[in-house]
Amino acid sequence: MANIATQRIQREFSEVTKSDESQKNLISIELVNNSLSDLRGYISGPPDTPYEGGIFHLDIKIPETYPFNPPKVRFLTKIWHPNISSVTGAICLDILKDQWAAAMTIRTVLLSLQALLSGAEPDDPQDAVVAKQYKDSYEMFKLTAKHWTSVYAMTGFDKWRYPDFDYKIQRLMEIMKVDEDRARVALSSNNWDLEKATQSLLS
Amino acid sequence: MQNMIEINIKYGRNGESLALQLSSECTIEEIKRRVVSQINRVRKTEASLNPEDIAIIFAGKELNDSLQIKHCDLGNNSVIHAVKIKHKSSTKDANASTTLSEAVVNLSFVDEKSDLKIGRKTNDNHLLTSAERKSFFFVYCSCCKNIDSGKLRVRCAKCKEDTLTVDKDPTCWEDVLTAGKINGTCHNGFCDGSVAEFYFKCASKNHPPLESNTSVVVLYLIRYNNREVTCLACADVNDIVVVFPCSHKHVICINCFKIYCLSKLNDRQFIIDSNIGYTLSCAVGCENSLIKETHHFRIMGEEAYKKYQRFAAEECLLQSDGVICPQPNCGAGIFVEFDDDIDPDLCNRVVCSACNYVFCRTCMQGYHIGNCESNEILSLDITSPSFSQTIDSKSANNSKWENELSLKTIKGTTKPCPKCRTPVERDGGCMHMRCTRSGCGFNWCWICQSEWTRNCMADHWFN
Repeated sequence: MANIATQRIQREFSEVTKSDESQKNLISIELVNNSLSDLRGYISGPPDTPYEGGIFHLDIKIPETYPFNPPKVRFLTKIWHPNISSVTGAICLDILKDQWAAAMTIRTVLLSLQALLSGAEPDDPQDAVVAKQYKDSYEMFKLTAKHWTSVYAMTGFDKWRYPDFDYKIQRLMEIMKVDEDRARVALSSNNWDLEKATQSLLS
Repeated sequence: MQNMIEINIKYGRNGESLALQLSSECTIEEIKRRVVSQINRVRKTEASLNPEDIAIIFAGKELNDSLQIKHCDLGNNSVIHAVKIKHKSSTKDANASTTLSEAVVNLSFVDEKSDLKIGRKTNDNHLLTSAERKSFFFVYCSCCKNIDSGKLRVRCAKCKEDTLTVDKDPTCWEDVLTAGKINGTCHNGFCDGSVAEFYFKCASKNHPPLESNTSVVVLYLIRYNNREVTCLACADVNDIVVVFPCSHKHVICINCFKIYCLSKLNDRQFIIDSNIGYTLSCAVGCENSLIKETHHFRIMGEEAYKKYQRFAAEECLLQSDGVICPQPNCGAGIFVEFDDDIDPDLCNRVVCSACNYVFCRTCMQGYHIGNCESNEILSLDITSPSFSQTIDSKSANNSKWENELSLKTIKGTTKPCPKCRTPVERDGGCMHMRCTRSGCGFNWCWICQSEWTRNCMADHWFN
């Protein structure tokens, strides 16, 4: 990795670690394989959102030309959000594309992503299915997002459970012989309508 | 002997000059005496001159009699002017005891005058030699092909001789860079010039001493970092920095600036501006921050600068609706003129004026009749007629194979931007593509290969 990028990441590492947000366990980063070009980021779901209580893991790749080109960031934790792909974890955020500037840092990226969880931008969606649900049936979106948070982003006993969703997932798994994740995606994408979800898996 | 320097003294209207070996302790008064005796010896017929009748002018200032050479910023082979005094009163000018370069040494920090004391103090901690600290300008020299320290000089805007004394010192870059801001008096014979024209000289140790007429451009965004500002990119405090022309005056160190330029160049993301040319803005992305003096990009080095010039020419061509020949190793720029009478089937037929390659303007492939093929592996005729006759078939085949392979690789991993045909590689993310070539920026769909629409969002945002 280029000298500037290495130097910058080292500094940014301590910037994140010393930050107020890190002290409050809102964001953190760590190295993967002791390489400064491969980072793991963590953000906590903001309060009063369907993501509250969840810890979301991020894959952060630092390009050779950092900080003149943006880091490549995607969610490793599955998440139900209009601007984040429910399949790949890809993020649609301007500062990770053409609005990136050399003065931005990993810390500002993590905070921007947290802000994105607080306020989605359904008109610039990365996941069209989620975006449609977000606009057409917001309550259903909130329940689904909360369900995904509890399944993928939470550990321990404080998990929130929604028996109706769990039951439908089990049924769909039995009918279609698919794994839990596929069943969950199919149901989430069809407003938890078991019949439509079955059809979507058939087509 | 190490304190001896050679000074060229120009006198007379026809550019007569004499060279003197002088010790650094030598005063201006002494120089005047030696100049006068020389002139009197050459011009036997004219009335003899007295040392009080002449003035020594260097860099816009009349030098005071008591000054010693070592205090005048004179180097080996410097040229100074001896002129007959026009106005007796001007010899007692208050400014005359300092040289121009000393007076404007802080020009770079013009709007930060209050900080000058701090600046001076911190300078002492820096690992700069006194000579480097003295010249506060950075220039690109066409002779050395390098960026180095430079010296500010002034001449008469009318007769172009250095025989002008300035009425006042420049106090800001505008005074120096804009013509006619500072007035002066030209002492060159009968020249009545009254406008100062500033210029720069290369102060590099490697600059050939007699090459004085090379073009030197001042790179006014480069400064010594006397305020110890941290670089926006590497967050280090470095000695030499570039201050972007944005309202925040963002600071980037010279090394990071170079890498910033190179990475933008390789991504072809310089911006074409109709007044400035091919340039960049502040690395923070501030508005109205385009770099006006494009010689700053010389920092990238000879080879990259050539690439920069080529890209600039290509962008300019594309903006004027020209095309670039797609033939490997050609890339000639062609302005296509359309004839209304021509068969519509032929309207996209372009013949390269340089290599005679015939291609279709729409798909940039070999010329064809009918619709362009979009997705098939192309079968380009690699060998042009002139080549196949001079190169034996085996090596032609080898190079053909390689060419075809790289073309196939490009073809297989990229899709052309539907608008400007620039091959685009998709390395992850969604199907929404934005052409990265500056000046295009077309939003398109990787799957449909047409403009990005709401339907693309709904149907195959993620594939």
